[in-house]
Amino acid sequence: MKHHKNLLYVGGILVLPFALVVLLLLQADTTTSAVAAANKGSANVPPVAAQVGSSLTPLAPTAPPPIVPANAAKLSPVKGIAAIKVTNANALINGNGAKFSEADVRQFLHDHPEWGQFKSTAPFAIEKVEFLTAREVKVRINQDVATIMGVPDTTSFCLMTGRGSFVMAAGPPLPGQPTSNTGATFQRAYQLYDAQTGNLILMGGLGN
Amino acid sequence: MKHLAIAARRMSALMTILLILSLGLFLPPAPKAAAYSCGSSSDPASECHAAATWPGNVDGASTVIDIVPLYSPDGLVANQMWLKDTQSYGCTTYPFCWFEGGYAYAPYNGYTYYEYVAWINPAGSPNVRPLAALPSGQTGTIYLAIKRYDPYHFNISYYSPNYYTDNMAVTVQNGMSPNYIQIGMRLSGYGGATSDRASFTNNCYFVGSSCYLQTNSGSPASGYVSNPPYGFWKTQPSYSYPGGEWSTIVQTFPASGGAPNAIGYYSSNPWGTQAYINTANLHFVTSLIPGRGFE
Repeated sequence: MKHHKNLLYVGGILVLPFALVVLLLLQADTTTSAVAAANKGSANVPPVAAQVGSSLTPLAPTAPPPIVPANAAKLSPVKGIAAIKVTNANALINGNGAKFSEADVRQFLHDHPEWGQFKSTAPFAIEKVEFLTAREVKVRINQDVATIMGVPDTTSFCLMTGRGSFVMAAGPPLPGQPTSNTGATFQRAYQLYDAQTGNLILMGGLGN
Repeated sequence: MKHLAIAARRMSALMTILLILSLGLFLPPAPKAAAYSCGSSSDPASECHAAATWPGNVDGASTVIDIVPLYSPDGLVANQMWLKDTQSYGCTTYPFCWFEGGYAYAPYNGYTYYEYVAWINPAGSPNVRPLAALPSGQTGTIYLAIKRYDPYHFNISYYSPNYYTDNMAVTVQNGMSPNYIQIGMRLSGYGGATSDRASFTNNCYFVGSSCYLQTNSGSPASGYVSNPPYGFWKTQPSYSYPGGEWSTIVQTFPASGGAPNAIGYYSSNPWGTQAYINTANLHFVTSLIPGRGFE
């Protein structure tokens, strides 16, 4: 009996390392296949290469799904940040569904010429203030506002376009790139407001 | 005899107090408000950063960012993630193409503390989508994921206690193929900015629809750090969830002490860089050790 036990121990010692090697090979094969599958993709998708420093090693664990806040369902998809003050909450101005006027927009921008993330390097001039549907805004700024905001393309917005000198900083330098951050410059820009609340919901640059 | 003992005890206590007070005279003087040069509204080239960077082709990235108080009297301060593309058509020359998202304290309508996402695509037009104002004192975390649906469409998910959007669809003309991920803090202005320490965890990159944890500290390993803002790996990236913890902070003691959210200041002295944390009039000193965080 004791002899049998010894045999089992010896057998285990010999077999275990072999089993481990097989297991590792199998795992490597599975994950390589996963990257290969990702690389296959559509013809337009460039192949996914391993990241520098082996950060894209196939054995890296996948992150668990994020926790959705308990109150998420109560939150509106279009919110933005406070901008134009609603001057007539009960009436529709200009028959376009807006609760503020062009004069309100001009007054706000006169009092608050800041551009948030953008650096406005010279005073800007308002070109136009328009009350438009999401469908019309898309034509003006080349952004599918209805899809981005998750609203019907008949939803009303207020679009202000201006001319000046604007910069959007490009973020931290990349390895091998100069540390100076001159960013993306443009001469025309827009601010888009929710016609109901007056909130700023999108801003950006336009073709010069 | 008893009176003598009491007198001796009182004298001893008095001497101790005098000794403590005299030692105070030799403590290092309180540093003046720290200044930095991170660019004004007319100087965009000087913005400062504390960022970790991972190069490599990916289909997207996600991170979980602490919401902490941010304040700047003369510029912008933000905690955010960038997903950059330097290889697609129209993106190969500086400033390239990119997505970004997070939260900022920035000049708009006076100053506003808000959550946002932004993108600049090969057509050359940047767009910023302010999602919602952050209430003062808001705590919690933001989950931000930006991933490619196909070369021309990206989906953005943003979950926070204050705002929720899942798979916000953004179209990019000419297509984009991201090849850099960056996380961290950006700062502009000349002085007086403050923040609490924020952590970036669960940092991962998408290959298809799966997101894999970043298991190394990127390139360069200690990040690109302007000092200020300060950035360091509080916990090195690893294979175990939630992975590495990249930390960012900017602290300068306000000249008048009137700034909201001011919690302390940095100074350099013979003992090295130290952060003085001011919490409800309680001052204590802690060392900032590069790569190891506060100890």
